[in-house]
Amino acid sequence: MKKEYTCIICPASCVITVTSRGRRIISLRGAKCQKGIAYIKGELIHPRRVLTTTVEVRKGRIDLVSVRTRSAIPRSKLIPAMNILARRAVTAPVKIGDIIVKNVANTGVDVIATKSVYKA
Amino acid sequence: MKYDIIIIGAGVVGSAVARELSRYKFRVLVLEKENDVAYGSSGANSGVIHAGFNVPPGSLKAKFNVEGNRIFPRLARELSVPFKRIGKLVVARNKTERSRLEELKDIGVKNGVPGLRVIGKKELRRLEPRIEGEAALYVPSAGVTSPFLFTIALAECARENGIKFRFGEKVIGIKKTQCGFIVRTSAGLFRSQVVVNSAGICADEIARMAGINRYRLYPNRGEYLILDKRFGNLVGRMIYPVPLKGAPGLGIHITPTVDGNILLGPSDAFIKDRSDTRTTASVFSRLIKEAEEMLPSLPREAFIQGYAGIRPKRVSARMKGFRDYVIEEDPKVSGFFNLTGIESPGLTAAPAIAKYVTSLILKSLSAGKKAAFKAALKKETRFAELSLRDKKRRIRKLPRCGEIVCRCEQVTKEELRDAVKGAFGIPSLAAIKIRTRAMTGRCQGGFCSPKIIEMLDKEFGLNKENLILKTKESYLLACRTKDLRR
Amino acid sequence: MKEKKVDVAIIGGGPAGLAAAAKLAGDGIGNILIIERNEWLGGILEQCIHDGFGLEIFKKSLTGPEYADYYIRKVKKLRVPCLLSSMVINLSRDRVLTVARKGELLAVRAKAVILAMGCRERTRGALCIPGTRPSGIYTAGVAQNLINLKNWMVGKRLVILGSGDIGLIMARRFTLEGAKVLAVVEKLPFASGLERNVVQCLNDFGIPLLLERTVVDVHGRARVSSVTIAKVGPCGRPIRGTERKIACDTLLISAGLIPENELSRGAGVILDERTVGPLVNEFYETSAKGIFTCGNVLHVHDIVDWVSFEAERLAFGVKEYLKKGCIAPSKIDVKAGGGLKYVLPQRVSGARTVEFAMRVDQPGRNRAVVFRDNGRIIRRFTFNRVSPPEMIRAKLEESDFKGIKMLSVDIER
Repeated sequence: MKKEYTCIICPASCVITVTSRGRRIISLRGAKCQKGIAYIKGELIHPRRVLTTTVEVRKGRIDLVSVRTRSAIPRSKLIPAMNILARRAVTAPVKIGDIIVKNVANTGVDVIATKSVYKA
Repeated sequence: MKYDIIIIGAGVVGSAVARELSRYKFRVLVLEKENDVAYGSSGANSGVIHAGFNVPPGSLKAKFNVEGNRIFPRLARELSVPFKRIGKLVVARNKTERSRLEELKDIGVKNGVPGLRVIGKKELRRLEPRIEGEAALYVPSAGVTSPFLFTIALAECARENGIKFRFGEKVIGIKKTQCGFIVRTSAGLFRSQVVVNSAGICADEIARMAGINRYRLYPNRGEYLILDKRFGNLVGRMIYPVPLKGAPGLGIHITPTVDGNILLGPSDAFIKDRSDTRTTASVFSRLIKEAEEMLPSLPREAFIQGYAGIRPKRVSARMKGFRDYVIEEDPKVSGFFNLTGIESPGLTAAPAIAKYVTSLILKSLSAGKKAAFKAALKKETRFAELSLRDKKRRIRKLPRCGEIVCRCEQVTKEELRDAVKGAFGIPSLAAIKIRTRAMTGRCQGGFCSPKIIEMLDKEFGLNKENLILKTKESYLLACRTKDLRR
Repeated sequence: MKEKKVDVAIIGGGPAGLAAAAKLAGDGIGNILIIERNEWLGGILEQCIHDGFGLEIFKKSLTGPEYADYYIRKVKKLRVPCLLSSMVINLSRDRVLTVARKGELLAVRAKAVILAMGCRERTRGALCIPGTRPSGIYTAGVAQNLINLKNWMVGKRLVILGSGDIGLIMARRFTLEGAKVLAVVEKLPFASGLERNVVQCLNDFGIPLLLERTVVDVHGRARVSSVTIAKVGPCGRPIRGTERKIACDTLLISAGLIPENELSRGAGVILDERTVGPLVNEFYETSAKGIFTCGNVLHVHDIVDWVSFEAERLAFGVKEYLKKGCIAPSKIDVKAGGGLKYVLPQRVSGARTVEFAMRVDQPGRNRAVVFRDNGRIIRRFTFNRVSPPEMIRAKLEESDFKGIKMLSVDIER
């Protein structure tokens, strides 16, 4: 099977043509760098995404702190992780980089704050 | 509670009548089905204080128009309402139209309109270099105001003089009794000796509740486009086409507003549903096309919003012809005053209508004058309109005036808080808009609306149900960010 | 009025203003003042909680607040003074700013001014979308502010008009929080946002992207109840008979950004009709002496790194200006020719290397950017892929400018 992918690793957005049989990749053309090749391999077998969202903050200057997974998690875990984070709340102050949830949805990846929220 | 007078509808006419009646020792209640004043046609028009040259001599329209125009400047000063007598030009494109200008002028002279003059191409060019035309009728007495601020001021003044207002109460029944009326609303029963029906487009329905079936109103929609203030200097005066004989409207005109924008419109189309204030693509392109005929340099990427208002007409599309305002005590139902068919020039005529209605009421219901009546309403000039020196002074006095929340219209935090506190009903975004002009600029609230929502939420403690755009059902927010995943 | 004298006044503490301040202060310019209307620095980045920022500068994918944090720390470390919650209400041609803030109205007299006010969103009104005027119509940025900073969801069933990056990002954001995004509607035959956002934000969640369609009507009295979409013909007009109603409670509009140049206009700065931002030379100086500009107020960027780089190049110009009291005259006009929406800067001196920024009007593969002087080819840069959402950058060396009178740039096959 032949399929075109657009690499989303960087804005170069390389169009990578993949010929595959089942999960076996036969040829891979169009990637300008190794990251693109790794991305396509991952995308075909086990797509992963960084999750960025928010978590409620108590007694902070704002009511939400922006968070992210430290690294990409399986795409299938995005919604389970969202459901966990919706029920979490932290109390201000929160510092950028603070761990908000450890090992979210058993992915082995922590969720960290991406901004600081000071006390109200 | 028994009232002397119940006024149904807090549009510009109802509010003007309320203020006029507040001079006397009457107990007056104003019932308004919406959340604020000026909700219907009173808030969706051109904001023009007409001169009175295109209404038949001897009609109520002519009489109240000319009188309203005459008293408006003083009234505006008294109530701290902006008014600019910028004048109007009715532009003729050819010889046939030019001869119509003389006709219009003659009507105007008969009606007592001052200063009318037909001017030639050269003078038209000098006055309005961007306007195409052969000749024009120059109407110096026409002006512009803010229909919102005018209606709000009338109602606020009435309220300060003891008139009661109830918002969000729709009249659903009226019963004539031996000594007056029982008015049933969505919230309760109210008794009065006199009812003033100033319900605008719903006036025929209200009359019917009292057993009066003589009136029927035909909704006629006018759509508008608003231009960015950046193009506010394209014209200095109102630019009107020569009106077609028997047309339901005045033709699509170009109106500089008192706030510095330019309006295109209104169109005229009879519609079935009297609350159908939607805008349409076909009319938008018509507005642009017809305005371009007079103003060829009209920029295409200049619009910031569109809106529509409904004219309460007493003639249908088929009937045609002229129908005057009805302003009378019903001949059969005594004590019931109908103010029906108040379409253009209703905004101009409202103060004069109010005086007239009051005189009619005084014939059957007597009361002394209030010694403490306060005709004036003191309002601060908008921060945006102050000179640099006065801005500085204002900030020194009220530090919060330095905090500008709406950047396009330069609206301060202080003004926003005043608007929230002064709102008649729930302080909806629309109520804040019409009082402060926040969110009405070129970014349409792109920058300030989240800040205003936050202010209503955090500072004034409004809950989700009361964070609304305009009507009770127009909720702004569905839930908290995390609610759907909990 | 209280008056303050500064060397450089920066209007806007978003990415452009911060990067310019950091570079200038880092290079030893002492008397800088950032004036920011929000109560925080970072501008729009604070609400852009998604990642994908900083790939060029930091070689990793940061979220908006993390990217902003880097520059905020930098300007704080360099002790650059900032006026927060302060709105510049006027800018004069001789570089006096009037600043309104709680309790005071301030005059700031600056040797150099940097316009870094960013942009605003195109609204329903500007698009002249007819229909009723219910609640539930938001620009994507307003919805983003409410959902990420103010803890409010604007709706549960959304249609998004416009496939610009913010619209795509918001499609994912709302889906992640449990709302249903019914469709993203795009007038053009291709997405307006970056391809990677189409993949990550729409495809990952099965959100349909309806190309060559637009919203032609809005229904609902109090709150949006549905919208009508229709196919658009080649001239951009909706095709009759192709209408389809989609029931929803919210319409999000992500139909383009407009540089916010009201202050610039007030100062007499000449704007380019194509970018809607000021005309600039290679030093990012506008037509008004000593008034410089960069970031989204100059032209709308797709990637924040380009804004930061631009700000650094601008800083060079500002330093030159402060040193010499003026900028070398730029006499060579740069004309955007076939296939280009615009090219920046619009004028160059020819005395130094210049990096040009441009945007194509059509997507394509294997295209060349060709620089010419009166028909003579100076340079040709080839690209595998070009598309309107992605800014193209190309550099001409000092030697390329020899003897040049007029520069034109075209896209060719």
